[in-house]
Amino acid sequence: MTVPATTSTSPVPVRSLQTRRRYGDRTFRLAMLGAAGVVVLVLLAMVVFLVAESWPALAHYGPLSFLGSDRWAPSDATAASTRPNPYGIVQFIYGTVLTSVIGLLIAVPMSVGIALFITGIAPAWLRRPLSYLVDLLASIPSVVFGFWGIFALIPALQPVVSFLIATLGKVPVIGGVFAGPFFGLSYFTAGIVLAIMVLPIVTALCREIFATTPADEREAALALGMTRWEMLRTAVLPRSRAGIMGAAILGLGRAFGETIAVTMVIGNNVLSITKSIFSTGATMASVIANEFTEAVEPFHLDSLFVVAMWLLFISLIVNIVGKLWVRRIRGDLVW
Amino acid sequence: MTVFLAALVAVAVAVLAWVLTYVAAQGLKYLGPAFFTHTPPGNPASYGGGYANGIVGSLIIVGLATLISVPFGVAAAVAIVEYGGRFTAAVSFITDVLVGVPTIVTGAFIYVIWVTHFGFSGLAGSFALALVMLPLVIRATAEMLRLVPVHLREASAALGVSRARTIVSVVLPSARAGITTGVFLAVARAMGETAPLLLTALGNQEFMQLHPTQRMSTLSLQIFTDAITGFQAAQARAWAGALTLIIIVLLFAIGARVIGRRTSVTRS
Amino acid sequence: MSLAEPADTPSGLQIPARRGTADSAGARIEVSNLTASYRGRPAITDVTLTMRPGQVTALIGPSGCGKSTLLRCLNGLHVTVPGASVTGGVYLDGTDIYGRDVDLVSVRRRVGMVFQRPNPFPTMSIADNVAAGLKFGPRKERRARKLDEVVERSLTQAGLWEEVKDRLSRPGASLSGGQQQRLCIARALAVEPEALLMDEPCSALDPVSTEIIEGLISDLKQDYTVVIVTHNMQQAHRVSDITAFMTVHSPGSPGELVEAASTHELFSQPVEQATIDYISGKVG
Repeated sequence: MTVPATTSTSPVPVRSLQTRRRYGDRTFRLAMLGAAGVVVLVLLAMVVFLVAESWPALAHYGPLSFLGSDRWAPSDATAASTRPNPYGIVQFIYGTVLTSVIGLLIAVPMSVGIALFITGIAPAWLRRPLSYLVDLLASIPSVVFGFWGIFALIPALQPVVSFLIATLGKVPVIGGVFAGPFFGLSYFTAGIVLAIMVLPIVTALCREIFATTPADEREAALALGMTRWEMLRTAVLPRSRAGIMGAAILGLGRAFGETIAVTMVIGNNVLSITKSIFSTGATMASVIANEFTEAVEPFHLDSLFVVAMWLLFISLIVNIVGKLWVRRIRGDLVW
Repeated sequence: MTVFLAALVAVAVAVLAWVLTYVAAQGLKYLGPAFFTHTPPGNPASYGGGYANGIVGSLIIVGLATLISVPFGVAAAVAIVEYGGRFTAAVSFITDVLVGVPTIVTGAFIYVIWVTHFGFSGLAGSFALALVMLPLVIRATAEMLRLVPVHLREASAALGVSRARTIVSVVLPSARAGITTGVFLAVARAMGETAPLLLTALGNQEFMQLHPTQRMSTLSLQIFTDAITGFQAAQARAWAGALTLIIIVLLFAIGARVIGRRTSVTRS
Repeated sequence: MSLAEPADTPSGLQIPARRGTADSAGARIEVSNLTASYRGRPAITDVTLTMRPGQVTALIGPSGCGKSTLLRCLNGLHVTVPGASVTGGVYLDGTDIYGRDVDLVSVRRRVGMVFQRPNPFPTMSIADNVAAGLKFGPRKERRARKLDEVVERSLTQAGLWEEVKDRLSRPGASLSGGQQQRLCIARALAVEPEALLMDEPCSALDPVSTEIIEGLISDLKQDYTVVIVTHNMQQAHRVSDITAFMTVHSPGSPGELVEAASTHELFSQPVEQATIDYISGKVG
């Protein structure tokens, strides 16, 4: 057994983390990192290929022309003419935003209320079953919501909408937004369906946010003699404003991406923007779903890819903003 | 005010009940054993037949999608949790972003890179669904891996077991139940998807197609196609299909929770 | 949460295969001017100590003095934490384990460890736990051995065989705390190390189990170099041949080795004031 001649006075250089790897370990690590790399590749490829596929139309008509018109009339398209652009997409953006906003206006207040109830008022034994039930809404497939929307929701909405048309429809200035006739398929119907579909995710996020209110703040409020609701209003809600905003943004992202349910109840009127929320319309996702397999006109398919490209960009932006926002408030929690 | 909040909860639960009972009521009118063994009649306006081809198609396409997405997803999650660094932190963020990509866009993407070269097929549909499932599998697996206590990894390292072997033989098996739960939930989600399949698998109303390189139908596609026709007979089939789909999805979702609750990693 | 692996070699210059010499089994571990840090801040500084085969060396000192850190430097577990580093040398039979070409995974085959909280692998049976080190280790070590025999031998060495021989396929987690710790000892012994590091092995156990394990330690020192960290002075007095006392001189400063001597000497005639204060109970 040899002992080094000197217990070395000059220290071995500082050894921090990784230097080299055993052969098997090295291969394994590369394989795992490779798989992770595929994920990045997929996102990049999506952006690249969608832009590439829309390029012929973008080049032919000019990129901005799509955003300058709300008239989508594929039958007007010819291979040669470049003006006016028959594939204006503004009404799809309008439809996507409008239906999502209607959905959020209904869903966010409801979600906040439900989350407040579950985290602050419901007895402990009730909390999990209630959360479970709300989450169950998220499991129902989109196509089923659409189907139910046509045959169950629309008939139920008729009296409500007739009432709204009769009252709000007569108000000066904004009356046009609530004007009839209502044939069932409409922006409004799609908004209601979206509200139902977005409710679970916004509720779950709000539940998490409300649960972070420290127990002693809640108890202090109760000790002062407040009712449960007053405690929630003073101790929980004020500090949760930013979090609720984040949940709403993420809900918006979810609503933007919803395709089938919306397609089935919105009526797919692609021609141009229609003013009333009770009239038929179209969204970016619905026009793609509807026309993709029958896109035979010149530049028709390419223009649908323009729509897809914009849809991707808009959802990416909203989702990234929402994620960053929520991360900022929550510190570090990974969703 | 408490009453008002409780009413909101009641409304949400009522809507859930409404949807489920309506679908059940409509679906049960037509659901029978014939529904699972027959394909739709040639003339959509005539009664009879079933969605056997769609059910089989769903199983095949989602099955393939699972086979594709799970290995990649688990490996990527291993990279994120076990080999953490700036690159994998970016991957984690991108995974979260991918969850939010509209599924119709995913379908359009697969159309561009696969269908334009190889035509519509069940396989293309599998790729699209795999992309939908991938971020879900990664997230669930990463969460489960993070829950495996450090002292288990240290115990293995202290035995002189290599890093790779520790991950494969100690860490992953410990997380197995949770990962399975995550996969089940991703499968439930994939079974319900329609939009990406419109642009990839396209659907096949007429007959049973078992070969994934051809156009295939799925349960969701058949429901969609039949629901928007004007024919009562087709719609009747669609309701039975919708009920079947909900039952399948709920089975997977509930199965996931049962698995998840049964085993706990942190048993000492 | 993840472990990082430093200083592995592609082809693996391994430390020469273990040997048991005729006179005493076990390896000689020499620590030389060792400083161990986390993200640049030293946890222990300039430690020099020798641990010889056939002896039990105990590391004692107040909490936070770095005794566990020192222990974890002896088998390279310290540097698996991201941001951790060492300067100085730890020589296993003359070869610096932090040397440039040394594969730390192979070091850990020769220097085993038992942790404070028993940590059997939860998804494996008792037998599989004991055999884990062999099953997941290099293939050539597995070839010459019959797993059943190894399992029985290791469990006997750990004093657990009689209690579990009829239920080897039950999960490892189904045992009591003391039994689990002995299972972990059996698991560590199954790979036939030359040294065994024990990090407060009894602190989470009841007195009966503690007594059993302390009895084990006396047996184990025949065949292994044993190093034990303990916060219990009486335990150090009971089981060890050599005792090393560590402390921090002021809050936030790194731990230092104050004094090391034969156990009898250290407890009856300590030299340094800090040692005297600790042993007499003046400081905790």
